[in-house]
Amino acid sequence: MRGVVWRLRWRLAVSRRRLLLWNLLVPIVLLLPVARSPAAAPHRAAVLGVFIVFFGAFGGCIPLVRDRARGWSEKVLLTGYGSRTWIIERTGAEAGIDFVELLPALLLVALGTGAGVGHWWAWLPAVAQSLIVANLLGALIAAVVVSIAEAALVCGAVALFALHFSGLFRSAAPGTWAWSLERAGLFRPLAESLRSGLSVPTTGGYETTSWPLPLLASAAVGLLVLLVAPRLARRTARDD
Amino acid sequence: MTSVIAATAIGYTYPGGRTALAGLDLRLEPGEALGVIGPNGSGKSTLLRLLAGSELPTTGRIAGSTDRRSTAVVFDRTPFASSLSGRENVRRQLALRGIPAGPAAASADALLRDLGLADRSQDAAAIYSTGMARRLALAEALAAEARLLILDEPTLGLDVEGRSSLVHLVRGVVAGGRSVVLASNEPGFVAEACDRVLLLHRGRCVAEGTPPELIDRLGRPVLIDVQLRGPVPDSSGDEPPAAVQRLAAEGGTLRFATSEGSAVLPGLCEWLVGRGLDVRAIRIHEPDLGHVFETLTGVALDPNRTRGGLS
Repeated sequence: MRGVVWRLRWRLAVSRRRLLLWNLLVPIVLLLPVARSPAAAPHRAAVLGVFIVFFGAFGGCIPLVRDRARGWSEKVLLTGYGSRTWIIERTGAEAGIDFVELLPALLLVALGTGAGVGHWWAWLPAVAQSLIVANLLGALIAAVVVSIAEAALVCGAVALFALHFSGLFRSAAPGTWAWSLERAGLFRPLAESLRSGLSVPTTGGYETTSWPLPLLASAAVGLLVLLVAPRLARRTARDD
Repeated sequence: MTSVIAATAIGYTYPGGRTALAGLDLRLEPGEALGVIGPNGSGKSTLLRLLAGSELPTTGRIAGSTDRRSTAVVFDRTPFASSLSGRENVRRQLALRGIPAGPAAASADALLRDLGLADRSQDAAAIYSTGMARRLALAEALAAEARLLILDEPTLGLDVEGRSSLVHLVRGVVAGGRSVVLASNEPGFVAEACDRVLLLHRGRCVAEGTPPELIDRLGRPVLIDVQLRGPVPDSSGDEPPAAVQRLAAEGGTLRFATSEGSAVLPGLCEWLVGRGLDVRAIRIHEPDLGHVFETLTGVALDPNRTRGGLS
């Protein structure tokens, strides 16, 4: 690891001040009113979960599709930078930037809902893992789509499926195949921490936080991204 | 001496089935600048992408240095980190190549100065004009000090001064023992910057040689445009003076060719006056690589340029 791409992504994020400001403000403006609303706790947890995963997946996919189309990714790789090193550093940096941008909103949600700083701390590892996985999913999706519109559509669908099978929208009855699947869901830790933080009564699957299986599933997604890394930068050949 | 690139019978066919390149052989020696000339769609950019290792040929093979670290590329559209300054873009590009800051940064600053960007190097790349962006792309590529420099349409958006600086820089690179492959639609620039030229038409090489060799194939005719005040009268259809060949009459312009150079001008003027033609201007055109291309393929290199070499 050389860290050049990692540093470049952070430098770019800081240099785009207007975008940075929007990315800090929008989560606060959207999440705080929802978290404080009188809506049922599962609904509030679902909105927060969807927002966090969309934030990561869209942010991981759309810039990659745009950078590939304008030749930026190709330009980086033509310097001899390894495609796998590039995608690891890039995805890691994007997830880190997303995390920093979400921190103030999450803190305000924790304080504003009475969940408290204790819950805020409990959310952080789950949010960090979710953002990494969402960015990895975004990178995978970028390898198969050709336009930003396609990227947005596929990201939305895949993220919602993944959240559904992580048990964010409902709790499957213990012992069923859906229940088994949920225990390995990519966003299971996020679903659990949000639901418990927003005081959703727990049922079978939520009684204990189960990290190992989701982490294993996340590692599998990471490996898939490494496999498609060379494809992610290749600009479509065109006539001259 | 080991060739920097030795490509044998390379071809490239797009997934849709259109052939961009077919059966092309190419060698590039250290310290040599090779120019690729051809109209839009002739396969120039595809060839450069293959040489850069950005695409793989569908037929044939490329041996030699397509190692990315020893190759620097400027494609026709170069993206930048638009929120960063030009100077920082160059430095980050060097960092991506693993070139330590220090001396490389100083050399990058010198290049930015040589390319006329010194005053604007601290500005965000987002506000650069097309020509400035082109200069920045060239600075990034040249600063890498790569063994092979690949430039696609490097003069795009450059003014006369920038073009002249580029010729100087390319010759400097070559003098240092490094190699350059460039594709351009500008025959004059290619003739000045390159040692050898490859004329590409519909994905095939139609001629290859040094610029003087290729121009000599035409017998070095000089083209003479005689612009008249008013339309060309019938009397101009008479046999022209010796050593002058009448090519065409178009609008108010008579076109002649000669292999005797400007020596025929007195006789031609006398002939024009003898026929009562009211001459407004006479222009002499030296033949260039564009004429060679047109002669060999029947296709104008630049559609805006009148066939027969008149501009």
